[in-house]
Amino acid sequence: MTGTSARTVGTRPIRHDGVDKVTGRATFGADVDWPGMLQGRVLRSPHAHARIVSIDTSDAVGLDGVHAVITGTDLPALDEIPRFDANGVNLHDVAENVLARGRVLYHGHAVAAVAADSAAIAEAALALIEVTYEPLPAVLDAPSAMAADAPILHGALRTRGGSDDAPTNVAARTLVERGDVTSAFASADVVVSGSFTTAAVHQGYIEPHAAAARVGEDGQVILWCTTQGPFMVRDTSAAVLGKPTGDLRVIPSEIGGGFGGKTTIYLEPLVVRLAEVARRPVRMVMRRDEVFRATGPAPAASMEARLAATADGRVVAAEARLVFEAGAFAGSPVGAAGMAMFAPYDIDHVRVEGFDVVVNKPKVAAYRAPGAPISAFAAESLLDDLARELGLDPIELRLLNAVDEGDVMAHGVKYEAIGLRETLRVARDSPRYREPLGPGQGRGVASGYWSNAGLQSTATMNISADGSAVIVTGTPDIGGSRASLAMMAAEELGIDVHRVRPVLGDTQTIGFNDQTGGSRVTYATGMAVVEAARKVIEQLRGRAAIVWGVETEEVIWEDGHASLGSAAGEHRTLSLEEIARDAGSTGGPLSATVSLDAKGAGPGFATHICDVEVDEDLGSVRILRYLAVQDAGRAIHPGYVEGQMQGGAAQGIGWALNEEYLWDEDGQMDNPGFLDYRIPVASDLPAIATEIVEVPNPHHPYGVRGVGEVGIVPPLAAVANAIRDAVGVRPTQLPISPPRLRALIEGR
Amino acid sequence: MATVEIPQDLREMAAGRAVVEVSAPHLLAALGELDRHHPGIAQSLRQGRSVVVDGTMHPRVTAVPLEPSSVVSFVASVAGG
Repeated sequence: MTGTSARTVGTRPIRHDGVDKVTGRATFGADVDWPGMLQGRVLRSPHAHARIVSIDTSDAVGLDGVHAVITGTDLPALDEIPRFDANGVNLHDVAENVLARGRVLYHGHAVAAVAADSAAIAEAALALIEVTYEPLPAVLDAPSAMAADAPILHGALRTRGGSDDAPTNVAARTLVERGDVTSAFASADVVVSGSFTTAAVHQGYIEPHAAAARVGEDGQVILWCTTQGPFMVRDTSAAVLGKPTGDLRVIPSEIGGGFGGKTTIYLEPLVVRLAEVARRPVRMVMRRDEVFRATGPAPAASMEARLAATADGRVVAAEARLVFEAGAFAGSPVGAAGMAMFAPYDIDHVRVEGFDVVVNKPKVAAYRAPGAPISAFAAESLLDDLARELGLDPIELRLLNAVDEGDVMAHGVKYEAIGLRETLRVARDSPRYREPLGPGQGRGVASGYWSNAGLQSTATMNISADGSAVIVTGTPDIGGSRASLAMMAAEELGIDVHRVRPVLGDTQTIGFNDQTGGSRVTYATGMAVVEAARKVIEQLRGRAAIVWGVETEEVIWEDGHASLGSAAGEHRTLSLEEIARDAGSTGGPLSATVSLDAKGAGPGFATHICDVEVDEDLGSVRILRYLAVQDAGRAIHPGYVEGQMQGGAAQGIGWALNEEYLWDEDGQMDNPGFLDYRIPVASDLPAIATEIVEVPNPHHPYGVRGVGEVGIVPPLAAVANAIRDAVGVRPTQLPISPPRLRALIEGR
Repeated sequence: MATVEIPQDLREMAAGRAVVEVSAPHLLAALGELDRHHPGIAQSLRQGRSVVVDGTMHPRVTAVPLEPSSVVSFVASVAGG
């Protein structure tokens, strides 16, 4: 920090984007309207798996008001685009997912798209497109897909990490292994084990996917969309379209929720191609049912796991087998789930084998801490069983086994400063942990880990003539990060936070940024903002030195002023406003840009306590009390950190109790809307209490570590453990819906 | 010579070896050196994997400095949400 003490960091100012959002002025993905704009719609597959024999678009093309109809043949063939991008993303899979080529791989797979004068005309045109399908056998769950005689989705697919060269639906086998698990289990005093399943769940973002494009006569494309990564959209869409990346300018809208669900592309290449064909701007907005049927949920999973411990509670070995459904294309987060599963604990012998399995369902997408909540559900349930078996307090058991700085995870990564132990102590010492429980009530505890990310960010700071500052970044604000970035800038400059305007740039107005994801923005983009501010402060000191005719080194910067002390005791100051006003006379604009590849994102840990009341007749669960404790490193804006913690808890409670993609026997989703897919609403939840722990991350100038994801890791198990406490029997299948809980109670 | 641990599924590309010694100033150069001896392995090592160098995870291959005692391993990549 520049000043002697923080005056902005750690406070709770109103977010800069708040007024526009609560007054309805913010422009989201569907809000753009350009002259002559057409409306685009997508025709989707009615089969979970089929060969496309033919597509006849002639009647649709001939309908009045229709300006463009495209199918897979209107995009470059797969062999015309690179197979992988620089980050290892399989571009062939992405291209095939946005528009089918010769086959459909899930119910809802995009087959054709239309642009017309109105959405109604576009819908009518879709009905005129004649697609002849040859239905193929579908595989709708991982066990079926792994069977020896299973229909194969991709003939060329081989198991990465496997040794067999035969066609398969197992896209990858991952392995985290340390020590001698077999011997450790054989000699342990206590072993607990279980089989667990979780359902596919939606990220729950309210804003549907939306995109609009217009194409200039020179071929330059402006692509407006709701996304967590405008540069990802630019690069991936350009590859799928066979265009130079420089021809696409991607402008990110405000985003109405992402949570990982907006880290890939769906509509973007289609809307560009439609705009090119129609020679008119086009907008596409998914209906809610399309969001459910055709975009990526978090994966369904099945897990077998066991823990071995000494009689005094020291966990000596952990083993698990994880099977994750990837959807129609490879890429579930099973590898991350395996690494995160036992990460909170110092265990000498670990073996976690994971399988990434393709099935005829939508390709899964990221969802906060991808994979970790699922594997933590199994691991933390077993910790709870172990505590019961040994007669130990569940928090004391976790403290006994908690990782510390210097410990090494099973996959070889060494911990630096971390705050798991602190979260456990705060939870243990909370009065909430000692609240009396009544009949039918139970208490559950769980902890969680998430690695967090750094990655590439760019930030520009410009000082205006009135002494206010503008910071331009390229990481969409999905959780209040604009406020935290502005606060760090204000702290550095020593000015009021509302004299800093945080602005989101587009792919042609700011340098490259990786996506918003991995809880990385306040950490990595924040580092870029702080460094840019410090460069500007160097300029400000230099300008004051010019005015005073002294060396820059003699000028100090504090509280928004340059100041100079003299031997005679005279003290001179120049405010930021004064220096900015005369910048044209002292060297020109005050501006700095910093691009960096941030390392050292410290992992996040959280511990949650959940109290429930179970109605055994109905099988219903009421959350009585909930406490989330989390290490934030340093909470720049504690209110928004608490918001992240509460949001993670609420989503995790939904994952545990209610949420589930339901499929019929043909692979069609039965509940593609928020009436039938039930996320928790305010009346379902108590106030989520929060306690922020601050163990500074030494790699960030303010000690920040990401806070956006780890809060969703513990709740699944915390809720399940509370129900176990209340009813005396272990829930192993999520969601713990009333029918499942009734069956569990009846089988007690 | 830094030690590079080859993932099991790529050992065939590395003449069956589980561990390869590489003399390189940084990770990027090490992969280049590996690829010179085992063509195609660098691309395969990047796909769907993160890299761990001396206990620190790196989401992508960059010019991370290597010491003669350095140990490099590859793990499943992690996507953020």
